[in-house]
This record gives sequence, C-alpha cells and structure tokens, in this order.
Amino acid sequence: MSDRASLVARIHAWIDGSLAGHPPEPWESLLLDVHRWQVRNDAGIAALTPGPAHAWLDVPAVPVDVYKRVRVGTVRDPVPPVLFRTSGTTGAGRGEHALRDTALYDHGARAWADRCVPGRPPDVVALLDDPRRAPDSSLSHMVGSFAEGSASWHVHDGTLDRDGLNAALAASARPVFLASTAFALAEWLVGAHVAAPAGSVLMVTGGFKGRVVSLDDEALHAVAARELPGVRIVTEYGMTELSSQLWGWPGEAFRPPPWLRAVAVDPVTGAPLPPGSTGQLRFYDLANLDSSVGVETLDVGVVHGDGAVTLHGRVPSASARGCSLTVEEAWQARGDA
Amino acid sequence: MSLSAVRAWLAALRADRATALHGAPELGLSPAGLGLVLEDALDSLASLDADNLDRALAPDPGPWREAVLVAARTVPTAALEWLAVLLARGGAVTWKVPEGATGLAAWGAAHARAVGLPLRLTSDRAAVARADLVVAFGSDASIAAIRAGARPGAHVLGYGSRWSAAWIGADASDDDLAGLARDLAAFDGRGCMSPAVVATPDPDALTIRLEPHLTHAEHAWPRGRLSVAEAVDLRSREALVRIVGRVRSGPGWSIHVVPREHVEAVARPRVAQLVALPDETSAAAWLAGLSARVDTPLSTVGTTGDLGAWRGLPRVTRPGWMQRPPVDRTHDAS
Repeated sequence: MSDRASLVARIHAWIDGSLAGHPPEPWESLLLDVHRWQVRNDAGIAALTPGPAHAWLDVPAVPVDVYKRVRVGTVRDPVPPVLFRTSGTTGAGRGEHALRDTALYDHGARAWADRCVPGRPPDVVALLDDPRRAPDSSLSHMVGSFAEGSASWHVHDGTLDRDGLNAALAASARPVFLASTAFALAEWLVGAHVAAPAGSVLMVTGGFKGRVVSLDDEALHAVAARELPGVRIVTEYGMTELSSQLWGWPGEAFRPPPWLRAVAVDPVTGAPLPPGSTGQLRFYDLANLDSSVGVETLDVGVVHGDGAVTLHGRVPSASARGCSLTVEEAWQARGDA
Repeated sequence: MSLSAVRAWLAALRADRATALHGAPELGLSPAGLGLVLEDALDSLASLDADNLDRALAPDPGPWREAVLVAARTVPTAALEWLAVLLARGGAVTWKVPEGATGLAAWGAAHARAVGLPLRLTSDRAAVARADLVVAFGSDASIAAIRAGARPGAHVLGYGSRWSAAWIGADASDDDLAGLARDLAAFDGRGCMSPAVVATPDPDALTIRLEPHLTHAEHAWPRGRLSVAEAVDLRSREALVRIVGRVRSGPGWSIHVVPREHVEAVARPRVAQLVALPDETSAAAWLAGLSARVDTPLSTVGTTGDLGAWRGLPRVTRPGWMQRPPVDRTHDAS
C-alpha cells in the first residue's frame, strides 16, 4: 500500500521520465494510486467517491467552490506548512489549497516552464505581490521559484507600483522574465511605462473575471507587443487549486504538462465530452498529491485531441434567486452596460 | 374600478390555460409545473373583491394614471396576481417583462386586451420612467436600479431579495410532508417563497419520510429545465454537502442534510436543505440570526407548529401553502 513518500518519489520520477520521453509507468495507474491514497486519507474525497475508480474519468473532480468552504485533502494541520489562497476576485470566500511542502509543486512548475519557455531569463521583474509579503499566492510563489538571478515585485496590496516597476526595468542590463496578471499589465500599459530590455519574456496570466471592465486577451497581447517591442510573450494558465500550470503563446491553445490531463464536460450533466467539444473544464493533476487529483473548474473551454486547452470564458454564475432579475439586467437598467 | 373586466380576464385565462402551458419555454418549468403555479394563482385571484383589493394595495390603494409592473422571470404568476389587482383598481398598466420572456406575457396580455383591459406589454426599460406607480420584483441591486430610474414622486413597491424557510416538527403528518414537497416543487424552487431551509429535530428521520413525497411531486409536476448556471451550482453544492453532511437524491430532487455552519439561505431547484434544530423556538431564533447574517429578510415561514412562534414575519402559514399567498397578503415590499 502506498504512502506519501513513495507516491512523491513515483510522481517525481514520472515528471522527469515523461519529459525525457519515457515515463516509468502508465499515467493512469499512477493517478489511480494517488486517488486511492487520497480516499484512504481524506474523508472528504472518500465521501465523493461512490465506488472504486477503474479509469481516470471515474476519479471525482472536486469543484473549486468546495475549496472555499472546507479543507480539501490530507493536510489537516490547523496551520498547514504551505497554504495557498485564491485571490477572491469573483465573490465571497477565498479558496484554500494546503500542501505538506512545495517540492512536487516546484519541481513540476520549473520543469514544464523550462520546456515551454526555453531561454527563460534568470532575473524576474513581476507585476505581482512579493511572495514574502503574500506567501499565500501560488502565482507569486511559482514566479519566485523561477528567479535564478534577481527578483523584484511591483504590486503591493493590489496596487501597482508603477514607478518602481519602470525603474527596475530601466535599470535592467539584461533580459528579464516579466511576469504579470492581465489586469496589472493592462493597467501598466495604459499609463507611463518603459520598455523591457530586448530579449525579455513577458508572461501574462489570468483574465478579467469579476471585473466590470474587461479587455480581451487578443487586444491585450496586441497592445503588449506594440508597447514592448523585442519582448517574447507567453501565456500561462493555472489556479490555486492545482499544482501544475499550462503554457501557451498568444492565439494558441495552452499546453498541459504530460502529468496533467484535461477534459471538458457537459456543464449540465457533468458527462465527459469528446475532444474538440466546448464544455466545463476539469483537470487531473498528478502533482496535486496533498489535495485532490481531480479538480472541476468554473472555466469553459475546449480540450483538443492533443490535450491542449483553449479557454472560452467562464460558466455563467447563478443569477440571484428569489423573485429576481439578473445583475446584468440591473446594470443595463442603470445604463452602465 | 374594473373588477368585472378583470374577472372576465381571469376566466379567459383559466379556460385557455392549455395554451400557456406549452408556450413559455423561457420559464424553464415543465408544462405540469407551470400548470401547478398557474392554477394556484387563478385560484387565489378567484377571491378578488373590493375589500381585499383595498387591502392588497394598502396603504395607497390608488388609482394611478399609469402603473408599471416589472416582472421576474423566476415567478411568472406573481405578475398575473399583481396585474389583476392593478387592473381592477383602474388606470393603464404596463407589464415590463425581461428580454425573451414573452410567451406567458403575450398570452396574458392578449386575453386582457380581448376583454378591454388597458394592459400594455413591453421590454423597454424606459417604461419605468413614465409611471406613477412601479411594482418591481428583483434582486436588491435590480430594485435600486429601478428606483433610480423612476420619475420623481413615483411610488415604488420593490420586492427585493427574500428567502423563506420551513419548520417541520417531529409530529408532522403525511399531509404536512406532501405540502412541503409541493412547496419545494412550485416554481422549481426559484421563488422567494420557496423553502430554502427546512428546520427539523431529526433530519435523517425526515429524509426517510420525505422521499416518497418528493418522488410523488416529481411525478405530478416534473422539474423543468435547469440552466447551466443552476446545474453547475447544484453539482458543486452537492459535492460540498456530501463532504460535510449527507445527500439523498432521486430523479429530479435531492435532500441535503447540512450542519448549521454550512446552511445557505438559498433555495435550489427541488432541493430540500434540512438542518437539525431541537424545537420550534430555537429554529425561529436561529433562522432569524441567519437572515441577519446574510442581510436578506425572511419572507415566508411554513410551520407544522405554532404560528405564533414566528412573530414579526410578513407571512406564516402551513406547509403546502407557502407558495399560495392570498391576494391581500401583508406586503414586505420596500
């Protein structure tokens, strides 16, 4: 019977082996072993598992909203060694993802980023909060782990430090890894900004969910390309509830690492859809050892035949109940839309 | 006053209700489900007379030059009830419906015009600005927007966010449980009078007793179509309740036994959310506390116990009648 240490070793070996072209065992059998260990060690996962899982799609995918309400997974310490929290952009409550440590997280994140973003500059300039000030931000943690040289952070308590960012870029003598959320990037580019050194890489992540004002990805990337000439733009898709990330390029689908699989499901029935269909996205992440390997998101997209993922927005949120109109109609009534 | 014309209108609606049952897919209710609530509304309005008309419109019984009813998609028959009251009082009435929600409204308006009632149908938000009385259903944000759009001096009756609950005692009869199942079925749980929370001393015992009644209700009035948002929310909520409580489900219904800290003042389609409370007095206190925490007033309580235990609430009734308010009910509009 597996224990955590042996599963860590197997997952670590699987990450390395898959990237070298020869995974040591079938992905599905390892995923099922991880799932069975989670069932044995987390009553919540067990409650969601009606019977033995024989295939990866049998493994329950925990909805992200559940992460806002209860601790998911096997780390039951009142103060977990590692606790990532969602940013809470879309409403009440912040989701929490508790980890025993970040060894698997860091290994997988760096390995896949190295593969997808070759020549990633060692110096980091981030439009993100400093992970030392915001240790619950998985995004800041990940970007921080990429810093093999210097690192500077230019968002404090949600406010962009424009002057500090511009000064850091102006002082950079060599290319930087410029990491930003879409919202912070848009805010920076519409105001006074300096160019990043040629050869820099710009990582853009996230969208505008929960914001009244939004800018579509294509438009933002076009503005970035124009305002930051000579900078290579890459896109990143991840979430607090997962341990792995997908990488892409403007206008192209996101590529998952070999140890993560995506499936689109019919949002009404929850039934898996064939590749190429648009549906609600679920992810099965081997590196999610300490919580749930299966996660159901509120994102809508297409999983292509090669496993790549194209995002198409969010599942509509339930309108206010009772004798109610939708909030959108209220906005329209005020003439704001 | 146009009470006789309104009575003729209601009679025409009752005679032609088969047309309505299949002509309003935008509501998401099954034909039988729509038939249930339509019948309830017409039965309630059968008692409309001059006395309860005055009470229904108290404290300002009108008439008005022009009244506008801003209807909700979720509780379509509330519009018919209010239109009957407003038209009976006299004066022109505009029925403002959401975009795309025209099936039932077109049917109702056509019959109104056929008997000479001055009822106009529109999706134009600007109608609110012309009225001297606005009756509106919506979220608190929607009501605020409508109030801001009304002309100065207009009287606005806003029915904002509300929720309802039930107390089912250990001595509840089968008739009580059949009534609760009926309350859960009406409007597929989307109405503000739908019991979002059912307090009871022994939820597991109630689960066993309630199951056949929910099954019967599903058979008699099948649940309609869930929206994508509702289905996703339901699946997510069920996952949480499986982790923290217990779920029992059947075709078109489910029972969630939920610890108090995870109870939500939210009604979901055909979901009976049960919470353990030892007696009616503590249930009344606890539900009042929940109402205060979510900053949303309780609208209706259905109880098998003492009606007097629920002082201060707009409406207290028996299971089976939660979604069948009388015409001259106490208003909790603001």
